[in-house]
Amino acid sequence: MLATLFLSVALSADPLPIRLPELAVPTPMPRPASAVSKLSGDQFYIVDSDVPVMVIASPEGVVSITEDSGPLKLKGKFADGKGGIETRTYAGKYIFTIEAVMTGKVEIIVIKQGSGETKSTIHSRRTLDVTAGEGPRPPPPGPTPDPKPDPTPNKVEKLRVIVTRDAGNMSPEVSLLTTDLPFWKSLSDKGHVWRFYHNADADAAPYVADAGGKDAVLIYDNANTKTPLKVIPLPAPKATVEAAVKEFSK
Amino acid sequence: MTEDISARGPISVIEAGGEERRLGLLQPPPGYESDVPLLTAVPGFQTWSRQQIEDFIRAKPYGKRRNIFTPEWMQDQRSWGSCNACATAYVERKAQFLRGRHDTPMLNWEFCYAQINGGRDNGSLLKDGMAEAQSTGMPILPASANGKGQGRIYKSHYTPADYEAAKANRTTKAVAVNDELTLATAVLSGFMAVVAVHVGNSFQRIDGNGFAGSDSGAGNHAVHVDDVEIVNGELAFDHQGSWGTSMHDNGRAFLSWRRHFATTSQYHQFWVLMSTNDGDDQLPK
Repeated sequence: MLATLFLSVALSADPLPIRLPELAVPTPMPRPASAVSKLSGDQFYIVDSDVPVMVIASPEGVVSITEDSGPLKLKGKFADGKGGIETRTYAGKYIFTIEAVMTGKVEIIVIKQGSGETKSTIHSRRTLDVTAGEGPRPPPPGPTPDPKPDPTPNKVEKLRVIVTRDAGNMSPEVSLLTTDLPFWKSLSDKGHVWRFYHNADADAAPYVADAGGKDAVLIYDNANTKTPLKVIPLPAPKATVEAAVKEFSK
Repeated sequence: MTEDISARGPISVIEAGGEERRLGLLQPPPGYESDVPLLTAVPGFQTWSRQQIEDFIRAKPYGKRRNIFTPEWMQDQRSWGSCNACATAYVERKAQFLRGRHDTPMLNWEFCYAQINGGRDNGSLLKDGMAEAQSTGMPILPASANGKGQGRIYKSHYTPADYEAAKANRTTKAVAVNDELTLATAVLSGFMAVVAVHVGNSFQRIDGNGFAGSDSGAGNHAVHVDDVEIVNGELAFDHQGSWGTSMHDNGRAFLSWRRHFATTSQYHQFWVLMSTNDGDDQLPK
């Protein structure tokens, strides 16, 4: 239902200037509007864009996403390659390298960022069947990807989940998350604390600073809110916030 | 408040919900121009299309807000003309609830009414309720009131301690709305609205689809809306009234833009509560 709504409201028909791999698609497609493809543990899945984009994986933890400035030269196996090691140069200014972390299904959401009066829009969504642990992959030359996230993050008893946004930001995507009272109530039931703020409110100031002034969901240890454990830019699907809560709570 | 409303003529009184009800929404003077910024002018805001609204209603993650804001939330203004303040208190409390302040008890709308009625039980203007919610706020309604008006509607009923307590429940941002789709966008996004209806002989009835009857007029009663449904292809704004649960369906009925708001929105400044303060429920950071 969520996907249907997203697709109906915001999916851009313009395929350029953001390029995603065109992978072999099994038939029949289970969801015609969203290609399903495979990513194994020794492959790269590259999002190559000339314009500013945000790339989100939902749920989190199945893949890692590393952002680099392009052009970028990479040597390795590619999800849309022929199986062998190749050397490729990606020409875009914004390069996202997606790699398998664990076996599972994950949705990759590419959000074309707005500028000025232009709103951010979902450019594309891809569902990947990810298979991890299929042998070593030769390390790519050139820029070293950021270290993998700590697989065992510190888990805390009680989280504080803050949504800070400009109150005018009422896109259907954001509202699907913020009006999901059963979800937010489930956090309360587990002893977590949650609160929504309008960015301009005085009470919101410390959270807005932690979010870098952007609309975001911030996850804190409620006993130590000096710095957030995680900052999730909005819009974000509930699954992403759920995954973060699971990641950091005991 | 910029206008002396104490000199206005008497307001209408009807029988509703087993009690006399003063229709306490005053009409702004001729030539009044609202200076409340429109939601449509807020940077980043975009009114949803009709299709987006219908898609969202079908996908609503919260179900129906009438199942959240049950009859236990009912505020009964009783026979005083405090409808506007009552609607304002409703939206303040519901906004606090929806943004994570779950422990706020019912707010004292009569305190709010005392600030905007010019010293007489003769109604108030929509815009004045909004302004008071932002500047003064509202203290908690005493538990002994049991959700009902007590006639404490004048400033002399309140002490400095009440004004101090009111600061804990203040609206921090409110904006105006004047069209159906923007109102629906805001309400579905979780931002409640204070609106005007006109009450005559029909309003107290409820039809088979759950809509309140409609009467023609410029608007003499303030209510709030907290949800939107689609009923027979029409956007149905759900409202929880302030005349007790014996009215309509447990105090609730749908309102439509065409039948209930199209005229009244031309005379009154509908508004949406966008955010509230943390007050005494501030999280230590």
